Amino acid sequence: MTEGAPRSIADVIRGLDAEALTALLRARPDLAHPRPSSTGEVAERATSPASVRLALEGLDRWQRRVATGAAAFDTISVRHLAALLEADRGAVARAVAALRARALLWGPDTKLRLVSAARIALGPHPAGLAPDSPTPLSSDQVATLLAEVDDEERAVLDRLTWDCPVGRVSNATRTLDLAQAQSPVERLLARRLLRPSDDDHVVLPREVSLAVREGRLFQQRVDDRPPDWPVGTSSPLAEDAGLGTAVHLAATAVLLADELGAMAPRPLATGGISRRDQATLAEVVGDAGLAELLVALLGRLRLITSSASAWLPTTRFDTWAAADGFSRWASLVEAWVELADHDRIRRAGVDELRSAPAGMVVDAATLTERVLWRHPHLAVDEVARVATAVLQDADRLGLSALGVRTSLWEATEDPGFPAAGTQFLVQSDLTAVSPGPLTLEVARTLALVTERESPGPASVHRFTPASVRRALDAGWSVEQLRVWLDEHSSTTLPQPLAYLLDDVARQHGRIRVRATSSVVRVDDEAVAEALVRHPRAAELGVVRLAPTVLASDAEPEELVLALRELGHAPIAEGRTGEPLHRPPARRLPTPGVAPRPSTPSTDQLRALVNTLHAGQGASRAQADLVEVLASGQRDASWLDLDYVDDQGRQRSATVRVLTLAGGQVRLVRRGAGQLVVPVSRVVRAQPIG
Amino acid sequence: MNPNGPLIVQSDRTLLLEVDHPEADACRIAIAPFAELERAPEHVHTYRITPLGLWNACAAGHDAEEVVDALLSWSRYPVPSSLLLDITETIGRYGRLRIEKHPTHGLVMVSTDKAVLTEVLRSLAVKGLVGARIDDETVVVHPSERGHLKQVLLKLGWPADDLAGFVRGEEHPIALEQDGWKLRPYQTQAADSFWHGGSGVVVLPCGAGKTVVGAAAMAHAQATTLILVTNTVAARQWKDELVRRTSLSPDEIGEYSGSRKEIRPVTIATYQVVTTKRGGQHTHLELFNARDWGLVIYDEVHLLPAPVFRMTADLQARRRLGLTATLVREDGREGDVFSLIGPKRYDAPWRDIEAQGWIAPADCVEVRVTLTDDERLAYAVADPDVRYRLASTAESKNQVVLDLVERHRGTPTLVIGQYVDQLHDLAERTGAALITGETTTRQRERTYQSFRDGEIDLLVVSKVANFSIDLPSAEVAIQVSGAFGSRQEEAQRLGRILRPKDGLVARFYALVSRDTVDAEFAQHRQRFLAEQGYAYRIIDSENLDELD
Repeated sequence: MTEGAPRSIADVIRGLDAEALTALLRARPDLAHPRPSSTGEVAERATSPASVRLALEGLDRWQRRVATGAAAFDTISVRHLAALLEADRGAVARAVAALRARALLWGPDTKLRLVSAARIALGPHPAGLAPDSPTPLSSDQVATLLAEVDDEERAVLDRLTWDCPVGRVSNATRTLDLAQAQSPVERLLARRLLRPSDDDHVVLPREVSLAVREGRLFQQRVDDRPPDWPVGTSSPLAEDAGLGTAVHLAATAVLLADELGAMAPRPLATGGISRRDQATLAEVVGDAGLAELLVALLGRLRLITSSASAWLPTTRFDTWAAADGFSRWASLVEAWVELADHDRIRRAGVDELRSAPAGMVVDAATLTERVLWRHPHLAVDEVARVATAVLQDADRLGLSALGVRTSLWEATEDPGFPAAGTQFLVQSDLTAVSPGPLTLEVARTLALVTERESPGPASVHRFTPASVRRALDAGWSVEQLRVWLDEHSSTTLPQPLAYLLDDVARQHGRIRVRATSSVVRVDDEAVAEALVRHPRAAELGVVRLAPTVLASDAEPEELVLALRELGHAPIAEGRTGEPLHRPPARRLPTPGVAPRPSTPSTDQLRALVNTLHAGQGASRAQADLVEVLASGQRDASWLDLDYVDDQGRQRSATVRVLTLAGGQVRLVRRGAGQLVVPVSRVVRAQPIG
Repeated sequence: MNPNGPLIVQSDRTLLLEVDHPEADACRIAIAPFAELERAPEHVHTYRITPLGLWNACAAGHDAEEVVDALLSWSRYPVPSSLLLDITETIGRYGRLRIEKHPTHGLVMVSTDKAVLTEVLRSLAVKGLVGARIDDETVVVHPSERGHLKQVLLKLGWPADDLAGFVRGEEHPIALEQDGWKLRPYQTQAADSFWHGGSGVVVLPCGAGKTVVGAAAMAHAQATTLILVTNTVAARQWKDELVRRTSLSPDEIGEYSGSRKEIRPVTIATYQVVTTKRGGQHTHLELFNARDWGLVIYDEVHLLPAPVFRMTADLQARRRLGLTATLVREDGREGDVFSLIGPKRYDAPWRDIEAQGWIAPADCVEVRVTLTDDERLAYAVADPDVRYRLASTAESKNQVVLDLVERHRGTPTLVIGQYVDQLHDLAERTGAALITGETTTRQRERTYQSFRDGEIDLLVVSKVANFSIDLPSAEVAIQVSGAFGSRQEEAQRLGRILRPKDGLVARFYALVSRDTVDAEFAQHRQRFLAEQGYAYRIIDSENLDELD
């Protein structure tokens, strides 16, 4: 600080030590964007009406009440303010400290002063008080006059006391004495308990209003802490129920993405999923709201996305689905929390719910109240709607259950998700039941060979002729299937299943033979000759159909294997000559991630503050800047450059200076092309290294 | 949660029970009251939680806490909160509305929850069924709409608890005469549960003695009784059975059917006759008011025709007992059974009764018949609508039937089929008696009797044999063709041979032509039987010798 007490808030800000300045920039991030060049600039911004209004919006209900109280007076002491607010002096002191940290209030405890921009922002009559009267009545006079008013006059006084001291009256400035006065307003004017402010308005003088209030500044008290969560016994089942929800959610998310992959729905023009497809997904997961939530979360996690023609899982999805249930669930929760980044009210709701201790009874009404206490400027209806939605989502995620905030939110280790296994039970009604989740590899194969019937932590799958055929189509042989099933079934394979496999295979094979499979085409007669003459040719039933066309009795697969063993590199072909590969699952490239709006870290802020304190102000720095740019051009070296773009956003780039003339600098950005920036918009330039 | 529990709760509200788990039995007892057993194959049984199931449990005196507790204590994995909430919510709906008797207003609907009462009264469907509102909690119900109102309320999701009681009906002494036989424990339980519940349905497998449960219920009621059965043969058998098991004399029991119209203290009517219409009118409605019935028994409730539901809606003041092997109706009208006849009062899974030795376990064998080349060619070129018939009646199949009949000579055997020509042919070639739709009732009864008495050991029957006849001594059934694998039919056919015998295993053969549409239908049957928990094998007709 300079000598003596600071004379303005600007003085205060200029005199802040590093710690306090960092705290200020943290509490009011708009002050650091774009990067200020001096503490003077910070002070200037901090007192601008727009920034102050933003700062006021960041206050909770109690802080705002204290600010409003302070706004009603030029200066006021903590003690006086506490008395007027009927509050504990400690609570007032805490709010005062918060306001000071935001540079909204300054001066010693005995003489607090609200910054004038805040005073203006809080309206012409903060706390419903008129400005000081030009010729105030003494307190004795007021007391005497008040004692004389009748009920009608009292009612008028009451109406003007708490909210707005100004009333509308025609011909307010006429001179009256009590004898002539007809209406209560006229009588009050005659008594000087009302004062005309212009021809059409009367005002309740400040000293009268204060007297009517009997020492209180506000009619309604405001609590200095958020409303308590509802009292109630929390259900002992909640934790388990939350975990159950989480377990089911992790399974349902995979189910939904799989279904989406199978449906491959065409996106709407707006990029969304059509209502009909949404309904199908809702049917799959059994709850429309849940389906919608999962689509949003999976999209946020970039596990599903849309191209021009279809919504599909992304390349990332397979890795994600292979992870254990807990990791999957945790990533869904994280995505849910991030979803709120773009919605202030939602953000407030999520943060508030999260702040409730585990095991606390929570409900939408209290959540709404608490959010409104913290952010009194938000619209009540909107907050109530969002609070309900947030709680509903939390219920679907297992973060709350049976009206209780669960401890899952803090879980960093698996709280008891079922572990994935590789075994299932096959039954004679042709179902396979896995009593828990399956590892991805087993689950995928089983999904190929069967139709899924019942989702959940366990799963029920049914073998049908169509599903078995699908597996054969995908390149499995019956023998391979049998071995695979034997390996993974904890029961012996029931006889009906063996019959089903054989039945399907018999049909399957029949079609293949008619489609002239096992035809070998070679491009060289010599190779054909060699194959026919090979000792294994008889065993494979190879016969020549044409000079370069052979047929074989062997299954194509067997033949291909045999040919491979003989050192050839055959390709199996279908009927129309297309290569018979198992087609890879359809996937789209993982899209880039949109950056989260970030608040600067404390370190970054500290660095900024240090710069500010080191006095690298803009005016001095401007010359330096030009010097840095010029030397950069001379040496053709790379520079770290911060500049403000045409939209007013601050950008950073690694650049080399091409030319520097006419107040413009032509740059080439590393890997991003050329750019011309006015030197005045360059915020910082620093050689690399 | 119980990490080693035998139960898994799935997201689609099915419950998977691992049968081989040491605690499986205890778990089954805990969940059976509120969850319907859907499938019971060898390793994992599937139960389903439905609103009706939960309300059935409610009606039986279970509450949400018990249901939730059962799930939580047996489930291997934690149960999601949404399911727990939904169960509590659904159960909370039952009985929020009650139908009661009012000393001055007669029949009333009462609710302690004003909002619920207002909600349902605002529904258009309820208007016209209720009269004036007496106060916030009570509204007058037109007595004639008691049943209809219950149906509507169930559809609205607020099933009413009917506490208005029953008329006693005209008294008539009926006693069980247990000479040489005794009520089995589960039969006593079933009759008692029904009686204490008022009205409702008893679910027992075929062959478990539903008629006896009916008789026991009549002994409780001691009143004139109307019995509705599926057809005339069933009516005669009910009569025989009642004469044999109770103090009733043949004169006290009337038959009300196409041929006879007797109304006696105990009257047995067929569904067919009561639903007969002449000139657009049901001509036999007078039956329901012919006497002051104290008890109405519905045999085979799952087959109850729609008009009978409507008539039943008017019988709500009388005690009603439904008897069935399954609550599942092909037409999905389970809700009507619940609201008009009553909730489930007793249910014993087939396998349990079978394990107690009351029903012979069945061994189901699917015999795959390979058609000859000529038959295959004929099949291949046939029109799609005659293919099933061709596959079902192929001569190759008939040969296998003859072979099987020969193997089981001396054992009471049934051959069941759909196509009369084929059955005629088979009867002729085996020299067996034949029963089809054309056989007279008298002839039918005579043939059954001689089969029962062991005079003949082979019977060829057509579809008519499917419903409610009693062939106590069949041990082998050979199905040549079936009506497209309906679930009902399978239950009936299996029921034919599931009769208590001394440790014998009944055998059910189903003949299937390989690689034809017949085989596709066989898959439905196979699934149904495996789901019912029966051992199911497939064998090629060439390998019949390998059968034991």
